[in-house]
Amino acid sequence: MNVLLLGVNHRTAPLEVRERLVYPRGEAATAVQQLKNGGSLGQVMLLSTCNRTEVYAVAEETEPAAARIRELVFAPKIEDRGYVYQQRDRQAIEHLYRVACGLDSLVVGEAQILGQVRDAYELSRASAATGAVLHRLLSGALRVGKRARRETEIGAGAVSVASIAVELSEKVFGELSGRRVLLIGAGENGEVCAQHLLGKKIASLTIANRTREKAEALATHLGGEVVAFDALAEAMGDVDVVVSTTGAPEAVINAKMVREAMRKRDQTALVLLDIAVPRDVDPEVDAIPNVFRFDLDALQEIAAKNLEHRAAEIPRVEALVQAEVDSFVAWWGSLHAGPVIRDLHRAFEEVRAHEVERNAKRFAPDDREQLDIFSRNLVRKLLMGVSQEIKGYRRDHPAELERLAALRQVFHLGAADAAPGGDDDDDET
Amino acid sequence: MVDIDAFLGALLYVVPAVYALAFTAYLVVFAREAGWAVRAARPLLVLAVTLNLGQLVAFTTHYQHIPAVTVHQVLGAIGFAIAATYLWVETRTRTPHTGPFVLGLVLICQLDAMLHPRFGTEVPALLNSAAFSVHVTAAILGYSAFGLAAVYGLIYLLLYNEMRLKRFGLIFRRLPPLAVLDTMNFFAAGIGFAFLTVAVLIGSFWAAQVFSEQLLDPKLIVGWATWAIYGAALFGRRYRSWRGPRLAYSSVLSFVAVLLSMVVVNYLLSRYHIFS
Repeated sequence: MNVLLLGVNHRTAPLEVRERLVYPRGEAATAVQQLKNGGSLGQVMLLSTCNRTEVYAVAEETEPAAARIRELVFAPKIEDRGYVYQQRDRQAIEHLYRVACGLDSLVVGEAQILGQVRDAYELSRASAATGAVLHRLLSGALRVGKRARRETEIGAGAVSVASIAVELSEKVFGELSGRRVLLIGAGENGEVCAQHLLGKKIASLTIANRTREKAEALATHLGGEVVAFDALAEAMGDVDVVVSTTGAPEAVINAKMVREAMRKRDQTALVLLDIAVPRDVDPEVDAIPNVFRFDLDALQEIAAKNLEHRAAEIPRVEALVQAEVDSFVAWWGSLHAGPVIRDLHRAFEEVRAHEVERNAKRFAPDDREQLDIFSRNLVRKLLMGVSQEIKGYRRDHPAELERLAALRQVFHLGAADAAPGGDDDDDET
Repeated sequence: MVDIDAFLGALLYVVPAVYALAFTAYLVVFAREAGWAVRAARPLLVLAVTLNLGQLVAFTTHYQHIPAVTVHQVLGAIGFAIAATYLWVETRTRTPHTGPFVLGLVLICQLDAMLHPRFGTEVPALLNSAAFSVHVTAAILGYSAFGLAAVYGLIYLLLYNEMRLKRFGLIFRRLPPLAVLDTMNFFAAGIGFAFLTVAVLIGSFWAAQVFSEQLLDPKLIVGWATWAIYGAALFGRRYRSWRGPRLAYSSVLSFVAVLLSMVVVNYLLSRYHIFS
């Protein structure tokens, strides 16, 4: 019995290869079914995002299983020119746990991957392609992924322009719900920023663009209103956050306009996010109290610092991964028939000894020895048949392995595992 | 039988020591988020506040008066009130990163109280009244809230300046949003103003009865001046544009002025309002 991994990711394959290997949910379910129906792959999971397509499987024999995965998952979509990597056992387990923690992501520490791992497992479960080993493997992955985010700062800080824009605005205003936003320019960057801000339940979005028709089209698309481009100073008086992203060759917002806006807004805080090159906001506005201007340099500095900070957390996350891999390996080792029988006898003996001690006073001193002998014999005979049965179990036989794992779980012979689950619902982009 | 004098003598050093440990843990949480510090900071603060409360209760029970006879005892009590309030705020907000700033002030108050102890049962007869107890308790709570407002104001200004200078280091990463700090500042100053109103009203009434020939007690004048300054700042924050950096500057400078005026009143005009 082996844990097997075959995959392609952003390190081994270019985007044009990865995009061909993306499996939408329905197609992924079909692929999992096909793999499972082959016979040698009872437990299988297909993880497919835009940065990786990986198959995790529990197989009796490695090479036939690997060949089947290549044939059914990769060969129909790409010609393998060394893109597909293959790992097994500890290496494969470690890889999955690192993926769940975001250590193997394009942007280290990104949060969405954990939800995608959980979704992939749910898909396998819905396809009846899971078993004790895959269940334990995924429990470990989801647990270590959550711990990494809870106990370290691997996911701290925003790293994209749009999310940094949100972070900066939140650093000034706290919750953005109820805040008003002005978008100057109707380009793609501004639209992405506006979408991120809309995701924070802002109260209103106003759009200004030199070509009014473009502003109107974007306002219809995003759900906002349009303001004339030559009325920016007045519009700034009514909003809390301004995102400027025009292609203008010179500044479209100067200090005089901002002073006018600040008077109108009673000097309350104003955030100016200038993500245009050349810059849209005159740096002289920095002299005006309670105005926060951030340009692309500032945003990039935050991204760099956040990535640097995440990188510094990698050793702590690696330690969590190693501990979880060790835990899985220990569990795996405990699934031999011998240790299961030994632990089963130990558990029954504990109950027997406890009950004998608890009830000893009800018996005359001379009878207590008899009680002890009787109870030992009773337990031994009760377990005799079970022990004989288990003794013949082999770990490389899927059904017998399932029974060994079930015995451990039912009689609490070792740590019980929680069902995989999580709170992350986003998808990797 | 427990020797209360020895117990209080020991707590005089143990309480500041535990506050110092809590301050150190919060500082490490702020700087490095080290796991041991994250686990230790809050329990240490709970321990310090509990010991401090025990100290105040034991003192009051044993010596039959609240420890507010000297300015140092009052500072100690202010430190306790700030620490207890901070503990409550942290429980509500679940953010420990303003801890080192608040506990820095608490530690200063506790060290001052430790260096100038006063044990004894003698209390000036003037202070043996219910009016005095209410006055001094309200004043302690009021100045504690102003102290907290000043700390939040200071933190606000630190973050405000870092963001305006586009520096995105620890201060930026750890501190809560400016709007939250502004609200905390306003909230603390508002509570302080309410308590100070009670304190100066009772104090004036009490002084009129007790010191009929000395109505111009400097500390009372400072109390009314403080009340007026904070009142103006709160009015400005509520009805004018005194929000954000203006309220922050106002809280910090007002509290510094209060501390300085206390020093002036207590050390230079010592014939007034001193009872021990």
